[in-house]
Amino acid sequence: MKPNGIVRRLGPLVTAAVLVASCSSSQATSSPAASGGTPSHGGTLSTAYQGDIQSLDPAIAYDTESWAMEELLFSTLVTFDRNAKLVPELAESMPTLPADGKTYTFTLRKGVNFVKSDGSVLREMTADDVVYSLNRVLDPNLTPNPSPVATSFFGNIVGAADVIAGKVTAASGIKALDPNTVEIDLVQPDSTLLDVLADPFGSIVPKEYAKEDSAAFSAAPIGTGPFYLKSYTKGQEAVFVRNPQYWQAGLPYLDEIDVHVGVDANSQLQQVEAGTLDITGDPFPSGSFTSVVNDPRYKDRIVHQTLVSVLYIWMDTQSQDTPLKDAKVRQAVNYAINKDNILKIVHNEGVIANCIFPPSMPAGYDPNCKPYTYDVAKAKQLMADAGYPNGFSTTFYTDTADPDPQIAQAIQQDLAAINIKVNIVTQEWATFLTTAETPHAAPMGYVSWYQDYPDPSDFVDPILSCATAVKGGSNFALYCNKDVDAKAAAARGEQDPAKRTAEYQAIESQIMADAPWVPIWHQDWYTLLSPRVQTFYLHPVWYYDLGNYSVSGG
Amino acid sequence: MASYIARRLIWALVVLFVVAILTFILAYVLPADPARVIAGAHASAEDVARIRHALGLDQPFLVQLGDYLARVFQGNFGHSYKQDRDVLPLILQRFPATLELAAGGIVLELLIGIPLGVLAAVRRGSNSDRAATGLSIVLISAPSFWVGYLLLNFLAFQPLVNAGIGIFPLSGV
Repeated sequence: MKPNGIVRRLGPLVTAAVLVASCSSSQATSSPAASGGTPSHGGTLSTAYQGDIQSLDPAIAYDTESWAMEELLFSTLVTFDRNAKLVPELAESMPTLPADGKTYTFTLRKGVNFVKSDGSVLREMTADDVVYSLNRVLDPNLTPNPSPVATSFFGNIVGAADVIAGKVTAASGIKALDPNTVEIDLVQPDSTLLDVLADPFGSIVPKEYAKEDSAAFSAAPIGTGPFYLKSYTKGQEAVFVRNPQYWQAGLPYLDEIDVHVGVDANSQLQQVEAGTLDITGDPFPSGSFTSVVNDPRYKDRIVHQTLVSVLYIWMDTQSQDTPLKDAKVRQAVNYAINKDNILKIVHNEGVIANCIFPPSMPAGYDPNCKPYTYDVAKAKQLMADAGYPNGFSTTFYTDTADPDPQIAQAIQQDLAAINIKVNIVTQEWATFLTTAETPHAAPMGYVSWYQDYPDPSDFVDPILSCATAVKGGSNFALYCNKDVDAKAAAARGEQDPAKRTAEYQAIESQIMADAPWVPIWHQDWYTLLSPRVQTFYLHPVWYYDLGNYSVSGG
Repeated sequence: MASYIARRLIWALVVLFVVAILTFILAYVLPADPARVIAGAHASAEDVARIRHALGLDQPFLVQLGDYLARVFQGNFGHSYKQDRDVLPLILQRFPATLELAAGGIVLELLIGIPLGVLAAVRRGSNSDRAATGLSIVLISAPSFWVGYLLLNFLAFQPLVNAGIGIFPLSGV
């Protein structure tokens, strides 16, 4: 998905990709008040974003701002805790892992109620709602448009293809065994089913309210989350109020959360400084980044976290008209790029990417992966070995948003050192995306990938598999290695976490050797808090876990 | 007079029609793919294709244009993906403000224009005629956003900052 408002928006809607970070690298604590003590109950927390909340329909919304809001309103069968670990939510416990890896059975928590927009109980949630909610994501007749992840996330469920094709309205593989038990059957073993169900796309909605009109449900969403939507004035403010019916006793801490929209990043900083806002929702403006981060007054009030993301250069591995189809040339490009230099352009707002998987994704990250370190002599040697001692010319595409064009220029200089003459073309995001996903239209380019969920499969299958090396696919390098594909399919179904991680690390090494990319850096997400924010952390998947925060003197 | 108004109204409709077609063509020829933008950067090619199909974006250009015009004639202006709302309510919501601005503009125009015109006609060829005509030509030719900024600066910002006078608001009403 996409980080909203982040430097590299995925487009107006899209905007998004995903994110974040987690456990391993939390470098800052929240406000001093946060240390120790029990969180206070009550009070109002405020945050602000430049952009409107795109949608509050969980079948549709695909950006981090909307996801943070949906986490307030809805619950899922399982969810990600603050360390990106899968834990039960509406399910009483994690499903036992089936021997064949194809059947998942969930026992639902009893006494969970849907809450209306006045705080009263609509009714109790049942297995029928779960079955309905998951089928709704597959519904081809959702208006104004079907879900963007029906095929990619839910297509492996038995019978899903028939629903997507409009042949039936319910998938045979999603079954209510009794009012408290749901079974999901898969075509192929796939442990990412749980990740998919934990994403907001797996939110459980009441079947009589969430119909095929997505815009209508988005305007008056009803769920089982810790808050309900009291009001939302587009372009101004959304007000979320504590759900008095929430199933988890003693939670949430806050009485109310105000989300202001249409507030630019500079104003967000000023308002937090003035004490009229508690959290900056968007990244700091790049012009103020260094001064804010180095301001001693903010020392204890800045929180940052490495996102589960990678920003990289792709190279057309099947290029017909450039030498980039030669792996030696692509390895030379890897050796030629000075990543430290690029990190300076972005004010060190992140960490160098040695390989593909980010350090904030424990399942898969390999601290011992072999990176290509900056070595111009070695790069020149590889170019000579490949038969291109005099280099070649090529075109490099990037988005127009800062700092991408500056990064492209740094790359251009690095490549000039090994005689690769790069012509930079910058395009507005939506156009850039169309160019990038048109095979061979862009021999090289710079782009980002933010997780959909913190699992290594999300860094292989959607962007580095043969199936996605097609027109309209996100595999801009057109990388297709049948052996990697086979190993990735096996790893995806592997049930043993340690074995699975080892398998993905082997896949990563093999891809690195083929060098379809130059992984450059992993971004950090920064936010500034007001002194009254008490409990705070950045969440690995939805960045802001607003429903679990608290304010002092609440 | 009635036929003049009728003629103007008909021409206004023609202009709206042409503008609608031009806007549609503009969106069509842009190299960006609306289905991709709606689906998000992560959606698979298959899901993007489904969305493209559901929205009719895989139809030939003339079919799409025809569908669009047919819907517009029925009062269906479509859905704003940026704002997640139908377009017609968005327009209607803003229309009163547009009307107010236009009415205010016309009143001001008449208050200033008629006396100046009379002056220019009565003292034909005089310096005041030349000044009035010159001023009109300059103001008509100047881009309205530029004139707008100047007015904001001299009528709202400067008085507020220098003298604390806030008769004209800097934004909104």
